[in-house]
Amino acid sequence: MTKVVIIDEDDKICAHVVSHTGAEHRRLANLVMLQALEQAGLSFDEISYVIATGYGRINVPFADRQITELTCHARGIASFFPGVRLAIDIGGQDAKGLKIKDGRLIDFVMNDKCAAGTGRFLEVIAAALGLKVEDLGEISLKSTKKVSISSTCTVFAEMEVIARLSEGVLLEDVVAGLHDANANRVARMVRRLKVEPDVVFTGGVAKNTGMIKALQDNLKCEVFVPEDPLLSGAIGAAILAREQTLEAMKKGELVQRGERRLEEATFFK
Amino acid sequence: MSWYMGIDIGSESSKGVITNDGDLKARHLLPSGSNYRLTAEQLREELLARMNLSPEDITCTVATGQGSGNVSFSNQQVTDIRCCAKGINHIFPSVRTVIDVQGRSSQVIRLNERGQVINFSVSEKCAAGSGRFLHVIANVLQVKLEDIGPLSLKSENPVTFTTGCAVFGESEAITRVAEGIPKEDILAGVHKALADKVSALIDRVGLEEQCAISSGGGLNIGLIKSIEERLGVPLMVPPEPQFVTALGAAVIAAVEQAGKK
Amino acid sequence: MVWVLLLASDRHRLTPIAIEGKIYLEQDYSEEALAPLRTRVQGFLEIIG
Repeated sequence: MTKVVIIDEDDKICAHVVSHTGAEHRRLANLVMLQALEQAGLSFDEISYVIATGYGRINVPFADRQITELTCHARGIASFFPGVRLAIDIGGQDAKGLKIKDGRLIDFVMNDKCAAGTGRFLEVIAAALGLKVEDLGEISLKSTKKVSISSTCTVFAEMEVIARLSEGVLLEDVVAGLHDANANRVARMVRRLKVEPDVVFTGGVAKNTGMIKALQDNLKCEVFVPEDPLLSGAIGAAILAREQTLEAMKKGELVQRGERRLEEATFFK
Repeated sequence: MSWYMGIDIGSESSKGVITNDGDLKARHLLPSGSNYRLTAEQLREELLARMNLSPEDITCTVATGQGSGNVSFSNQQVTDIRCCAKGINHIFPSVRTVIDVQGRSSQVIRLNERGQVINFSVSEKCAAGSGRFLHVIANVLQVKLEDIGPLSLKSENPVTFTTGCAVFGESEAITRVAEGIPKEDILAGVHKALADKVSALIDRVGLEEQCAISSGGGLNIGLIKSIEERLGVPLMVPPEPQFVTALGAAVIAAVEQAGKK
Repeated sequence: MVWVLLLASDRHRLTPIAIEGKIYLEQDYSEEALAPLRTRVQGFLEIIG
């Protein structure tokens, strides 16, 4: 997903756009940017500083700087939850744990190798069960007796689920068990960072109410979720952009800008 | 005339053998299904029928594999690691390392000259570390499982799978297909990926020649070649690799009996 | 280069990253495949920087 956020000097959001990032769309971050500019009623030159983040950050030709989503999410989350110590970002194909102190990233863990413990796990299961990913959370919350899924691997879990269902186990119980298994993988990973309140859950998967519950059950503590979990990275990037600009202005320096061209990425394969 | 039976109930397929004087006399394979107990009984029935024997004629039966506890007629249960080692030792006495690649797991076993296990490492939690990965990719490419090995050997430019995950690997394969990459290159790539996983298992326990391959993986010429290339050693391939563990179970049955006399 | 990778990796996954770092250097990986490694390295630098 490509997200663009524009803020003013008071950190107020003037525009936000969320758009799909397919293989084609990756080149076209500039178009999403134009949408955001229209929303804010601004021209590109009026933007003081642009920070790009996320795995595609190096291919945004109009960015002044690239900062990892690790730092940006930490910053964005901290702006909503100043007391955050641990942020958990579960996206479509990876999961990250961010240790935060005084609003700054101090450590992190990442899973980008295994589909279990990411949004992909839920996608695979949803497809296998003929359900929509968006419906999974609600279905899991209906369960009164969640099934224990022993497989830690997405592929094996899928097979286990089909076997359980053929034995007559209720769908919601199986789905709840799957959310639990997925949350368990994430919990194990983030425990390496020490789980301390406040714990915040963000990323696309944070919109899944079943996963919020499963994460709380596995971490044994309350888990907060921002209003729009998809935007915390972009918001963090924008706040960092504002900070760096104001800092430079205070010092009387000119802000170091990149060579901006609001055009397509030229070297993305 | 002493007859021995070995029953190996695996997560995907179940194998049974009857031996006599150390010779393999009968073998049979069935999908494991969900009722291991029934599968075991069906195996026994078929094996006995082939040899014209009755249950009482079997001196001793050893059960092994994931479903070994469900073999009602077994005299003993032994781990599949031990049975695999004994089985390979029976066929190739010079082997000191066995690479056992199955449908849902892989293991590497270090053994001594008597077929006793010295050390082993297992991968059973991850689909990409087992034959399952090959299944998944074969599905994407719509190639029959028995053809993937020979087809992969035709590749001159194997794809490199960048993740060690069967799910992400599946997506990668789909993308490669869309890019027009030939099937043999993708297949060679997945065989390479599995060989890499095997190599990681070898790193944990070390390698001593001779090396052999067993279980379903031993039927796949593409996998054999990939592993040989990765490890830099030749692999000895038993004539019926899927039955090695069941054979080992029967060998142990005979040895245990001999020990009792 | 390998030294830098060893140092600037996710400290909790030091050994796997180091091994992976070596593999990344030996083989021809696409931009996409390198992205997580780049993020780990840069993320670490942003923490200490």
